[in-house]
Amino acid sequence: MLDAAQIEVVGEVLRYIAVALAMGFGAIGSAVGEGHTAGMMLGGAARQPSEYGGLFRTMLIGQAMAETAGVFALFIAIILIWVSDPRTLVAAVANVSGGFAVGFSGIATGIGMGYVSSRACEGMARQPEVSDRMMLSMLLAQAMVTSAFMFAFLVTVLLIFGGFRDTGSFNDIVHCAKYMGAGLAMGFGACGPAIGVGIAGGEACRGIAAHQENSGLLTRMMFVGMAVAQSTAIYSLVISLILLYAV
Amino acid sequence: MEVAPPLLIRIGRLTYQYETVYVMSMVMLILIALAAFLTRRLTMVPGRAQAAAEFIVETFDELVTQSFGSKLGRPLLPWMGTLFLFLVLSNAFGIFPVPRIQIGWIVLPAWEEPTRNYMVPMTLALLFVGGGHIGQVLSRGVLGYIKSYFEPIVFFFPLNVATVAAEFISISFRLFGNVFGGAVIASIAFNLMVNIRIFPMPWINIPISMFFGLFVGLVQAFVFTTLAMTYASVKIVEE
Repeated sequence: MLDAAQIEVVGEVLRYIAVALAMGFGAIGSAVGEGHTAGMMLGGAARQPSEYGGLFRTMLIGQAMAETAGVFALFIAIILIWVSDPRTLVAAVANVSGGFAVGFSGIATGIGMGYVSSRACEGMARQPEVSDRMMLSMLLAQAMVTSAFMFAFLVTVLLIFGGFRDTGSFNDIVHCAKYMGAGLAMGFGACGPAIGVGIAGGEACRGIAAHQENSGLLTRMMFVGMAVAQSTAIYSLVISLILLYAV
Repeated sequence: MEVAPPLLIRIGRLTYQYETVYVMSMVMLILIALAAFLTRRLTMVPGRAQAAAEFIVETFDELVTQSFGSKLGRPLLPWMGTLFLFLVLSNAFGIFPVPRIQIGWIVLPAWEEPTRNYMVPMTLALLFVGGGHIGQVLSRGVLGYIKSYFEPIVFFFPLNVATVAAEFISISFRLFGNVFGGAVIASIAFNLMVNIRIFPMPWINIPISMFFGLFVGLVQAFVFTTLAMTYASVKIVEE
């Protein structure tokens, strides 16, 4: 096994890898989503120049929501740089795994949120009178997209602040693999549901613009469809929690 | 950052998590007081308080009637409505800044969301998803219930059993994960701001817990109730 000084160096290296994973992956999705929103807003403004103010406000709010994944990834990266101090190999590996979970799930979350807000901009340009209703639907849908990301963030926080220690025995490798597995399961697992929920939310916004009188029914069915699409993220969360605490 | 161990009370062989029970009874007390306050002196021309209560009941009446039909919907309305109101208040309970109080040997824990303890979402999911199964037995008979596991053909039995388990796991962990995640994020932001001392902003967790408690909490309460109704109505209502 490694001695204390070597472990400290390896811990430093792993910590910077964790920072890179969190921030690098986390920046992708938000940017794509925000760009998509801005593009759709520009298309809408070309169609309805008189509704420019409302469209611009919707775009800004939608982009602020799509930014969530990037902001949380930044938050985790700052924590990893300044606050977390992995003195042990297991804790360092847990940090890498946490960074991966928040970064990789952030890709899909940004894209999903951006899809919702871009469809909301499109619908608002088509039907300016539904704008209040559309803003509410957009925020509800984006809150549902966030929840898959929130599971990933929860697992990341548990991994980083878990206070994992080495036992000094050969079993440490097993523990490392366990925490790595928890982060991988959650990072990959939150990816699909976020995009899927975003598609459901986006199409619901489009439907509300087209058929305003059905908005109550559409919102309710949107929630049911989203909940089913999201359940795989919940299975990932369950497996991650089992790996973290029960095995 | 450390998480304090929950207060435990042992009665016989059962362990009670006293914190959660205390916070849940506070939620129930507030709900009962609100209901009593909003509906005292009922009149034909509603005042402001009565109008608010009528709005809540009417909105839910419409929702429940749409899923269960008018014959079944009315008896189920109090059940589903109470679930929704209980969840809304429970998920938002972290925003009340009531600290831990100790008077002599009596300890009153700080107000936290009762739904962040997995036992509460699990109990609610058992009640409401299990209620759907009981409703299915009542409406289709025991044989019809058993037969529903072998539909559309016999080989679907393992899939149908997996669906039952998946419904239960997803509905309970969705609520737990969202509420617990929000509470953890708020507490970390609070700890960080206090510990770093570069930004001495302990109030930063107020907007964060407002967002997670009020907004996400409301959405999740609605999702839980809608899903419970949908699962039950698919089982009970015959087309």
